[in-house]
Amino acid sequence: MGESENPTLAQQEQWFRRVLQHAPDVQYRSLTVGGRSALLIAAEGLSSPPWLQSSVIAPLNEVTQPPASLKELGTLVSIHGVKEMYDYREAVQELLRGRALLLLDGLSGLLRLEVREFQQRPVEQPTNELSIRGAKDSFVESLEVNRALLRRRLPTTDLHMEPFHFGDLSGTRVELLYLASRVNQQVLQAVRQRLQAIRTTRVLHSAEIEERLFGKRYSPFPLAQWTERPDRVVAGITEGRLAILIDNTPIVLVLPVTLSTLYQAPDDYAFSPPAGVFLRLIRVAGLTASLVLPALYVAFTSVNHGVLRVQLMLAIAASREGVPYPAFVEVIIMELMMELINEATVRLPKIIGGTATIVGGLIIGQAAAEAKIISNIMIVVTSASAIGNYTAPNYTVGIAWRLCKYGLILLAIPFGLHGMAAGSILLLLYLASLESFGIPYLSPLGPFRWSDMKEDSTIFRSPWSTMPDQQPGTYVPPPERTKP
Amino acid sequence: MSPRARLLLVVAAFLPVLLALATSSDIRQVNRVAFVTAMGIEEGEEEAAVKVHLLVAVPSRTPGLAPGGGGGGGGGGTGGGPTVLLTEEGASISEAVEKAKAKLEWELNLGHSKVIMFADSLAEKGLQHDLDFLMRWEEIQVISMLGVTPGSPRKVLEQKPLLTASSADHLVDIFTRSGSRSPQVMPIYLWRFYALSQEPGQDGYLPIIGTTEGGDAKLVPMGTALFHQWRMVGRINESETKTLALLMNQRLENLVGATLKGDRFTMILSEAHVDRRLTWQGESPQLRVSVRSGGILQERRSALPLTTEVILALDEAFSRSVKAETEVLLRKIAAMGSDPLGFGRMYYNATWGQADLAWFAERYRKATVEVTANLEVKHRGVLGE
Amino acid sequence: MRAYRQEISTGQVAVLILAASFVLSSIRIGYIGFRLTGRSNWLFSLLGGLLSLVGLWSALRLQRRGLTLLDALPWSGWRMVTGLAAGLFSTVLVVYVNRHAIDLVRVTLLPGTSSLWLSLINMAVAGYAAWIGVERAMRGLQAAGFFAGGLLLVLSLLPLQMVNAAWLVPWFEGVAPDSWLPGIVEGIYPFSTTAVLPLLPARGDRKSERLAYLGLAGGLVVVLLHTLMGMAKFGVETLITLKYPFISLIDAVRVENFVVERLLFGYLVLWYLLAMIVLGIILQAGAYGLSRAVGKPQTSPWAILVMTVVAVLALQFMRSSTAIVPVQMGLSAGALLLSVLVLPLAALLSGRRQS
Repeated sequence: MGESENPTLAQQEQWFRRVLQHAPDVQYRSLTVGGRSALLIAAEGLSSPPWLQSSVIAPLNEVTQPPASLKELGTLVSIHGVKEMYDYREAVQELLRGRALLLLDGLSGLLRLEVREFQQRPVEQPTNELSIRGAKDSFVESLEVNRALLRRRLPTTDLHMEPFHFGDLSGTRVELLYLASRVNQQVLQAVRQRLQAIRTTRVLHSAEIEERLFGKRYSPFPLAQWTERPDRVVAGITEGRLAILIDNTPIVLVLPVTLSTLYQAPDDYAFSPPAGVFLRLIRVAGLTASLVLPALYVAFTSVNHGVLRVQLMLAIAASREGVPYPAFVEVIIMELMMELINEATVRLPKIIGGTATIVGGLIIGQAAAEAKIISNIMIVVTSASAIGNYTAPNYTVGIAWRLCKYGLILLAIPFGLHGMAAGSILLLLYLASLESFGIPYLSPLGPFRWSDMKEDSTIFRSPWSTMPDQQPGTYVPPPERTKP
Repeated sequence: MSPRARLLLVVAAFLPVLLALATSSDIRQVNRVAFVTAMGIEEGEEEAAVKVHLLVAVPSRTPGLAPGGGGGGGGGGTGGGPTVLLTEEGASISEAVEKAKAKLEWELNLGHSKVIMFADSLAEKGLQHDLDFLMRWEEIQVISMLGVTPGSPRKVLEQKPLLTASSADHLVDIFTRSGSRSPQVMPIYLWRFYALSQEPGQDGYLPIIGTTEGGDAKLVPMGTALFHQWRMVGRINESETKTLALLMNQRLENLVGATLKGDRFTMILSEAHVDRRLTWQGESPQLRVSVRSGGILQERRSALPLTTEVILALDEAFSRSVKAETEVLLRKIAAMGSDPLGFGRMYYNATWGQADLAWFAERYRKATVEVTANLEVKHRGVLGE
Repeated sequence: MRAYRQEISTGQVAVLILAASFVLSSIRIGYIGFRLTGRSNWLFSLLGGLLSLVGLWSALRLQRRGLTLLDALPWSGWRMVTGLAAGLFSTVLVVYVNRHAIDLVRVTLLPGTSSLWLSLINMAVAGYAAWIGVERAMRGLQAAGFFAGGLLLVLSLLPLQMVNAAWLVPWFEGVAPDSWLPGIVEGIYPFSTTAVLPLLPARGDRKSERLAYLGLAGGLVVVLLHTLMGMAKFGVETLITLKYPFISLIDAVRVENFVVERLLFGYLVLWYLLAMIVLGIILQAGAYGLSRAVGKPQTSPWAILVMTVVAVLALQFMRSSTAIVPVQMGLSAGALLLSVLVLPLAALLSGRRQS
């Protein structure tokens, strides 16, 4: 329809009805504007009927003289977002995104009216990232609402937003946000290029964008941070990072990211520095426990019997009396049981979640020990490892540690402490080789930057008054100086 | 490298691990390992042989550890006690241990053996070769504690102690001082004894632990064995051991006694400081020791009121008592030819390593002794009178 | 497969020198140095450190201009000879340290596992560190140093309980004239890694170079601490009989009322962590030398692979009981030659050449 010059209203209506013949949710309403026929098209459920009635239909019914142009027609309606459009195919896309279309007989082109109002979830408390002292709002599925949540916290022209559209079918809107004066230009350029290179038919999940940004990789470690908390995104942006908002998902991606960033929780900065350091140390201890405890148990009970005190070794030996298989089988059984319980807990409806807890407790509890399926000490080891894993503020990195744990267990079976040490070094070197848009994953520990330790460190937390103004520090990739 | 190839490489890297599962002989479950908690070494029945006693802990019989509560019987033997005592002979310690391993259904682990006792007869012949095994074999901890037993170590190892489950636990508690801190026992680590025996101008020592006779036998300290160049050359009793510990600045709660006007007083020494110096009178060495310490009055078996005069008199009495004990001890150990206090080392250092230590050792035996003791009763305890 | 070779900073060079000094000092053989120089061994260690300072100065001078040792002079013959020599030196150093790592692991952790398996594991780890590139391996080393450094410092100071200061005296005892040179050679051993520095892609300015000197000073402190503590705790006569006196120092620490009573295993794991990454960096440096020697412009991953395979195979022929002394002395002599002769020559003759 876009090619024809000055089609009649009937022709235009016929065209729309033909293109949208399989869309019963599209409604057509005939109007008279100053004696001339007009057509209002809107999608049911995506636009607001009261708004249409009060801001479009009612004012137009009172018009006595027909407008001479689309621009003049636009001034007659009480709507902010009015746009003239001449590409009818694009207009159909806008209609299906919730906007209304207004056509007037005798005028080519149409008006796009911003009357979107679809049912959506209200802003609620975060479900995955709780904070004791921090804000209690979280993102929702609407990009506009999410943008507004960020805009409230950063009412500055320095906050730039670049729109993108992905998916021929879904037409998903994505926005890239950053502070122009603080963002690292190299990183920005790289992210922009990667986003522009994305080709897909639909985007339903933030993980799809995340994976496409970093290309094909099989690493379990996330190179972007996902969050449902606006304050977290704002903190990231002010540090010079970028945020990616995706329509229809309540998750925002923040990148680039380092491992220490993934281990920061909002409450680290809500309490005093000593408390913040203490909480971080607890998390590091949790990480250590979740990663190495099961492998250590295998090493000490199967290979390296001389490490622990003899009283402890005797206690472990006595505890294993009657267990019919080797320690590593015991460990693998228990760890897999824990994985099953974890997965079941996530999938179960809340109503029967409690039942799962009871059953899980039976499986890994005293009953199993008395049945000689596992030893008592194994219960402690498994529980400590599981709880340690739950201290990870980022769920994805927690899963990564769980995967690595099995690697260490596998190495500990024949080689004990030596195998664990070798596995740990390989893991450390692997993490050292990861980069998130050029930013080393282990930064600021490797490469070591003392100035960044105060701001973005795994352990330390400086008082607010001594923290340098949030200038990009860590998020500067090392210069590309590849030498022969 | 394509991601698929990289993934295959990672998976392939784990294949050797799986193969190693089949080939490694280091995998052994902890409940199939027999932990040796104490060792005894003596001369064998045949000439040039050693006899080794290994005290093995059995977790399933240890009270409080086993699921069923375990046996609460005596240590040693093959009964229901928490330990089993194995004895084997061999041409060397390692050969005897190997024989013991062959007779046991579980793997023998010497890594937790924290106490090693030598028979006095073996100690008198020299421990150099036995210590070669103990220091060379990495499985044996160099922080093991050594000791000497009058007669066979078997009697000590199979003895049931008063409070703990096995003799090994008893010995560990007193040697490591994590239990009793009695100054009548002067424990020493394996590495320390080895170093003292090798370093010029100083000699090692080992505590002597024995058993009392009779039906109600107990493990008791019996003083200290003194060595010179790997060989035991004499022994001192428990009281002399206390004095030696004091002279070595071991800062234990040393109890000293003194008699004043026929009444007995005792004092616990606190913050004792001992200076040892070597001086010369012509070609004859003089061993000079100065003991300074405060103390807390512990017991007054007297009606004498604790006036200032009495306190000062007690100071003198305690000082005299310690001086006398020290002089006797120094002469005794010098006469034996053992130098645990390191006077020979002082001579070696003073001559910038050029000393003829054999010449010194000869004169040391007849060295004169000068002791000054300055003890003060600083506190009266809880009672003011 | 790409071969990464990003530049490292002088701060990272400092960390490498410190870590390498610690690694090599921990496995310094007691019956080599102390037999040669007795109680004066600490002086020879100090001398060794000062001589390696010459090598470090030369290496930094080259790196200031963006040059490696191979580019110091424009002749292809120079590049080939130095490249091969560096490759050989690095391979021998890797073989030597790997031998000790296997020996330590076999006697403490895995007595029943064959040395071939252990060697494969060690070289797989070191090879991976080499493959990911020097800068990335350095990140790993810095991160490891951050967490392990504090623990190692505490563990290294624990042997101070039960030391006998009188055993340090006399501070200097006469050393036989024919023991002077071997003594100096042995003294430079803990600082051997300085010799491979000019193969690493480091660039720093004058201001940051002091960090590298600080790293060497730190390494010297570690070596002297080990030596003096060993002498004060065990006495020289015992040190002469011990294979790894500084490992035995840790083994001689008893901890009461704790989960473990021997700290040796923890110390070994931390030592192993640093050692494997240091080996990886040395492997990369040697592979770079070999690659350039055969005319390649970049580090070839195949060179890393060849060096790794050679290291594994060579170990099968290296008996600890007989080869340790000649290999350590040969290695140290090579390090001395490089530090005192080759590097200063290269630095001075390179004139105003830039990369």
